[in-house]
Order: sequence, then structure tokens, then C-alpha cells
Amino acid sequence: LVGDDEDAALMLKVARGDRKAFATLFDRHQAGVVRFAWRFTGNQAQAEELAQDIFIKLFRSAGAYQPSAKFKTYLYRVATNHCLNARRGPAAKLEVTVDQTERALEPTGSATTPGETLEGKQLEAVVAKALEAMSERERAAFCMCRFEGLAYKDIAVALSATEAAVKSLIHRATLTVAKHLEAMHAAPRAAAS
Amino acid sequence: MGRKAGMSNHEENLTAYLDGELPEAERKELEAALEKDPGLKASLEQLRSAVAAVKALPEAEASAALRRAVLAGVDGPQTLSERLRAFFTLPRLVPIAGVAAVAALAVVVSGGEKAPADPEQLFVAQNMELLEDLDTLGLESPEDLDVVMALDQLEAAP
Repeated sequence: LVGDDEDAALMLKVARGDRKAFATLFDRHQAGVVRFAWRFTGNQAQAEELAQDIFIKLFRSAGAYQPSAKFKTYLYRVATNHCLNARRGPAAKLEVTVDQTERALEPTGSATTPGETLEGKQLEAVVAKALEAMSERERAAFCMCRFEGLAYKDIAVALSATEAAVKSLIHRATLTVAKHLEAMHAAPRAAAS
Repeated sequence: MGRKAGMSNHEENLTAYLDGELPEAERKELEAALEKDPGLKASLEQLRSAVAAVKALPEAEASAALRRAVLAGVDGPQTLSERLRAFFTLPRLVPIAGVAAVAALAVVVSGGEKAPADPEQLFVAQNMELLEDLDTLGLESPEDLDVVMALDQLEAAP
């Protein structure tokens, strides 16, 4: 096992058919996997469906799990592969456009949370556009780093890349977001002048 | 951004610096460069704003329906391959031939009575032929099962 990776120990139990161990792993990681699927594919509505497939795939492939790397790394490797396939499927692009970009610009209702304000919605739409503009590997590395807090070395394992490559992927991806945000802030200034 | 991407090694290191992923020597070098270069510092602040903006995005919440669906999904009937894999990862592995013999004896002794069956023994009994094949081939690892499963398919083909 890698260090005292409790999740890896649970996964070995899952490989022996232990449903309770699987339920514990699910409870620990479900929010992260849903968030990753949402951000990676840009489709919030489909995120739970993808997460369901990812967890079932995880269960069914438990016998092949080798605890030489952290469990979380293995999980996000499975999640990345699954989300990549989903994005490459028919009509995936269209769904992304409707779900993130256009729906995010719909007028807000009266009862709003901070994330639902116009500024929050604009931010959501801009980040979604930036994610769309990234390469698949940039997006995968960015999502694992920014949304799931994985270290560069773990992302490198998940993507079968070097740490130097991951550093570069995350830098370029963050730069893309920065450029999109800059354009968002520049637009009202241009309109006013 | 105030500067173009890839202008220097320092530019390339800015995001890793923000993420606390830069080795100490490179971090010190970058900090020295930041002191001298206002453009580099401006780039760092723009990247810092981007990281903060992403952090401010709403969290995803998984529904109770997802939990039900996933747990129901894994409670479904397992395929033969999955059951074989589970069998091979049992902590108390014993020689296959020996287990098969015990299972065969249990079937004979029970004389067809409806006693509660041990799932493991039942599984061995149901897959006796395949397990004997595995033993003949001298396979010990779950990974080898894919080969055997493929062999079975070949045998089944007309």
C-alpha cells in the first residue's frame, strides 16, 4: 500500500466483493467525482449519470486494482477515461454548449444564492468557456488540481505523464482561464468607452 | 495577460509557485525575479485571480438518488468473470483441485438434500469444469482469467 492509504485498503476489500467497503468509498468520493464529471464535460445535468457509471466501473474493475499508487489517483484515472469517452460521444458538444454557456446567461430569479447572481453566472460561463478552450489533457490536469486538490505528482500518475509535463499543462490551463476572465472584465469597459 | 505565455522559465513557473509545487531553489529564484520585474509580478497576480475565481465556483452536490442507483447497480448479478476474479482474490487461497474435491464430496454427501449451501462451495461446484481447466493450465493470477475466458469463447465457436 502507498503509505497509510485507507482507501486503498478498502479497495482491496472491494476486490473481494465487500459491498460495505465499496459504499464507504462511494460516500467519501461521490461529491468529488460528480464535481469532476461536471467540470470536465461541462455538463452539470449529465454529471451524476457519469459519476454512476464511473463508480460501477470502479467496482467491476476492482480485481485489477494494484495498490502501487494512491487510490484517489486510480479513481481519477478511471473518471478521466470515462469522461473523455463521454465527451467524444455523439451530441456531447451540443449538450455542453446549451448546458453551460447559454443556460448560464439566462436571467436570474428573485431568490438567488451568491453563485446564482449575474456575476456568479457570468463567472460560471466564462470558466466553462475556458475549460472548453483547453486541450483534453490540460482540462483533466486542471480539474484534478483546481477542483479536487490533487498534487502534481499524483496527477502525473493519473495521466501517465511526467511532473514537468503536468506543471506545464496546469500552467497553460490556468493561463487560459486568466485570459478569459480578463476578456470578461474588459468587455464592460469597452462598452462604456 | 500583460505578457505572452512561454516568455521565460519564470513565467512557466508562476502557476506551480502559486500551487506550492515549486522546489525551494526555483522558488527562491522566482521570488528574486518577481522583486525586479513588475511585469512578471502582474502576471502572477492575474494567475492568482484566476485561481481564486475558480475556487469561488459553486460546489457540486450529489443526490441521494445517485447513492441508491450506484449501490443497486453493484448489487446486481455478477458476471462469471467477476465471480472468478473475486474467487481468486480470496485471502485463504487453497489449491483449486483440493477445493474442487471438497465441493464434489459435499455434493455427494448431501445426497440432494436442500441444506443451506456455502456460496463459495456452490460457486466452485457450478464452475467445476472451468476451474479444472484453470488448474490444468497452472493459472494462479486473476489476470490470467482473461486468457481462459477467451479460450472458452474460442471453444464455443462453431
